[in-house]
Amino acid sequence: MVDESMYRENILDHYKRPRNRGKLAHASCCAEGDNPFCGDEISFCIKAGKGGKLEEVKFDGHACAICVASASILSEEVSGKKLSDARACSKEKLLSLLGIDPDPTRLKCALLPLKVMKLAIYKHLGKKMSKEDEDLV
Amino acid sequence: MGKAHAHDVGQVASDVGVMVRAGHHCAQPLMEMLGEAATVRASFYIYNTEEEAGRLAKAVKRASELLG
Repeated sequence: MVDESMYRENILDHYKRPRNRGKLAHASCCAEGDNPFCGDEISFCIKAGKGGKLEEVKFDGHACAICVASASILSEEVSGKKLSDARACSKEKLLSLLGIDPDPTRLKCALLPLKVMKLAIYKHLGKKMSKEDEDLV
Repeated sequence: MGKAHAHDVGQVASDVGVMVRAGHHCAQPLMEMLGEAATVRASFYIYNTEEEAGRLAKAVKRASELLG
């Protein structure tokens, strides 16, 4: 029996029609990251607006369905939020939005966008990434 | 396979009990030469059966439909 529980409708929808994918003109800061074991490459650009809010977020790159869906869902989740709240987004929160419970290998695919998005915010704020966020992937 | 990523093809194959290798295969210079981020490799040996080959073929078709 085929168990495609990982490829649920929302994952496939975000994979095939990713939100906020592309280049961001006049970005405040960009960051990129990859997972050399599987070949996922993701970049995130953010535009900081008034009141310390994340005015716009865009991601780009080549990655598997889980990674692209995760980046797309994450970009929707953090858009318009305060930079500090976006940076505080937990892996549990992202996984609950994705609605999957990936094995350790695919977990890296799901969490790479979160780490790269956070890295862009850390870079923008001129701060060093916390150990906890560093260890996400 | 269309646009399907190697890891996704591997996952769909795994779901029907077929183990393949997906990724760089510890050969990044080759991937660069091929211009690919990652590839999938299926290897046969004397213990593999025709039924298993059929399952692999179905998994490849399924992955292509689902993610290609």
